[in-house]
Amino acid sequence: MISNSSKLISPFKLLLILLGGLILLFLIAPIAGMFFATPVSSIFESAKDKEVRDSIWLTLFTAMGATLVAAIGAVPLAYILARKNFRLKRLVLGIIDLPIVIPHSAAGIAILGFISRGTALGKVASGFGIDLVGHPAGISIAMAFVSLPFLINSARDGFMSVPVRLEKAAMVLGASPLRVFFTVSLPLAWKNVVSGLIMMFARGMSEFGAVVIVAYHPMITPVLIFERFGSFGLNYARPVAVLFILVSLLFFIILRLMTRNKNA
Amino acid sequence: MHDIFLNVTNGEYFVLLGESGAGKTMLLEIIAGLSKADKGSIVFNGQEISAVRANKRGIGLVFQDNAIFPHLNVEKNIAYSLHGKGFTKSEILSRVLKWAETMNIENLLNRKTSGLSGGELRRVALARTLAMEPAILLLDEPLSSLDILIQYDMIRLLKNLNKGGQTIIHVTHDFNEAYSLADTLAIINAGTIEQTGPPPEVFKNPASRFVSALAGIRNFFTCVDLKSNVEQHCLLIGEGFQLFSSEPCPPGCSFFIREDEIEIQQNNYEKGNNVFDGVITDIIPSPDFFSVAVNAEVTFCLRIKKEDIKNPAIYIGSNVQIKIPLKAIVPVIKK
Repeated sequence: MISNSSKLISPFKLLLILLGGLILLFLIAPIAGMFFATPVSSIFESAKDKEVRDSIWLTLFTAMGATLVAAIGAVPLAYILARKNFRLKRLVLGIIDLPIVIPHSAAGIAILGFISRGTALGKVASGFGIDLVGHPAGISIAMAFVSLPFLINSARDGFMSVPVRLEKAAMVLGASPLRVFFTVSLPLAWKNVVSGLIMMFARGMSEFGAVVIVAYHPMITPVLIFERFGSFGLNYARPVAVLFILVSLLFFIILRLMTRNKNA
Repeated sequence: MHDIFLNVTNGEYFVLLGESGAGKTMLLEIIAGLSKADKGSIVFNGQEISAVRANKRGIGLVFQDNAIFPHLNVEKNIAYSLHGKGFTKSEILSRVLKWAETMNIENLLNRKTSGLSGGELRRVALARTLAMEPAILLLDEPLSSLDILIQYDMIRLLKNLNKGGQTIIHVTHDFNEAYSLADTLAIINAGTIEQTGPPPEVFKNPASRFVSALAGIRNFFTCVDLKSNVEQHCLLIGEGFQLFSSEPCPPGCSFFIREDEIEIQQNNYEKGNNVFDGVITDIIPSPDFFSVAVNAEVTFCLRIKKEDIKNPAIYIGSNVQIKIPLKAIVPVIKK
C-alpha cells in the first residue's frame, strides 16, 4: 500500500527547518532586539546630529571610492586569474584571500606602515600635500585592503563561467582582445562582477579594525559607534547603530534592485 | 597529428573527412588562428600567415556548437563583425539584412537567441560569419545535430554559397555528406591524411582500408604475394589464401572485391578457382538488399536480393559456397 505522505513533512525535513530556524533567529534576534530597544525619537535625533550625518556620508563615500578605484585593477586581475594558468597561481589565489584571514587590527598596523609619511606611497601623497594617515584616502585604502577578496573572487567566478569558445568566436569575427573583453567577457560576467562590487562596498563600509588604526579621525560610523559606546554607553551608541544599519540596508536594497532590472 | 598537407584553391569546396576526435576541429582552429601548430606553416595567397592573429586573418569559422552570443539578439549577433570597420548604421543594417535573407532568417532578427531551434541557431552562426565576408569559410560539422530535412536544406544552401564563389573548408565524419558537397576530399585518419582527391576518384581507388571502410567497402585486402603467368595472376592474402585475378596486383598493393558481384550458392556445388566453402556468420538487412558475411578462412561481405533471403539454405551458421568472379576484383591503383 502506498501511503499518501505528500501532506506530511518527514521528520528529517522538520529537523532541517528547526536547525535552520535557530540560525536565522540567532542572526535576527540581536538586530531586532536593538531596534525594539531604541525609541524612534532618538533615531531622529541622531539623524539631526551633524557629527553622525557627516560620519555616515564619510563612510559611504570612502567605501564607494575604495570600491570603484580598486575595481579598475581588480576586475582585470580577476579576468587573468579566470583565463590563465601559471606556476604560482595557487599562491596568488591564497594571497588574495589573505585579508580575510588576517585579524583586522593587524591589517591596520600593516597598512599604517605602508602609507605613513616615510614610505614610497606616503612620499607621493606628501607631494600632493596629503598625509594619508588620518585622511579619507587612507580610510579608503584600509577598506579596500580588507574587502578586495570579495570583488576579485566573485568577478573571477563570473569570468570563469563565460565559455572560452565565445571569446574565440568573437576573435575570429575580427574583434581585438580588448573588444572581446568589453563586448563578450564582461557583459556575460556582469552579474557576478556587480555582485562582487556590492559585496566589496558592503564589506568596506562595515570595516572597523583596520580603519580605526589607520584613521581614528575623521570617524567613519563603525568607529563613531565604538567611541560613543566607550564614552557614553549603550543608550547613546544604539541610535547611531540603528540609523547606520537602516541606511546600509536601504542602500543595498536599492543596489540589488537596480542590478536585477538590468538583467531582466 | 603529423604530415598534414592541404592545398585549397580559390572557390574550391574542400572537405576534410575523418572520425570524430581525429583532430579535424584542431586543424580548423589552427587555420583560423585560434591554435598554433608545433611545426609547419600556413600560406594564404602566397603569404605566410602563421604569425597573424586570429582577428586579423579574415578567415571565418562556424563552430560545431554555433557559439552564438547569448547576450545579444539575432541582429546584433550577425552585426558583430561589422562594428569598428567604418560602416554607417544603415550600411551595417543592410548587410545584416542581406545575409539574414540568404539564410532565410530575416524574420528572426529581433528575436533573442535563447528560444531558437538548432537549425535556426546554425543559420544565425552562418549569417554572422558570412557577414564579415571571409576569404575562406571554415565549417566544423555544419550538419551535425540538425534534423534530416533541415540537413537537405543546409546542403543546398552550402552548395549555393560555394557556387557564388565562397571558398569553403568543411569538416565532417559523414562520407555521403562529403561526397555530395566536395570538389576535393581529404581523408584524415590516425593523425594524418591518408588520401586526397575528387570524391569519385577516392571512391574508386581507396588508398587504405580506412578510406575504403568510409566509402562503405568492406572487402578490402592487401596482397601479400603474387604469382603470375600469361593468363592470370594469383594473389595471396594472409594465411595462404589464394585468389585468382585478371589484373596484376603486386605485393603490398591493395584491392577490393565488389560486394554485389560475389555469388553465393549451396554447399559443394562446384569446384574451381575462386570458389570457397564457408559459413554464414552474419545477415544484416538494408533497405534494398541483405548484407551477408561469410567466413571462408577470410571473411567476405556480399549482397543477396531481398527475395533470396527466403531460401532455406540461407541462415546464420549454414554452410555455403561463394564464388568470386574475376571482374569483382578491383586493384587499387597507387599514384
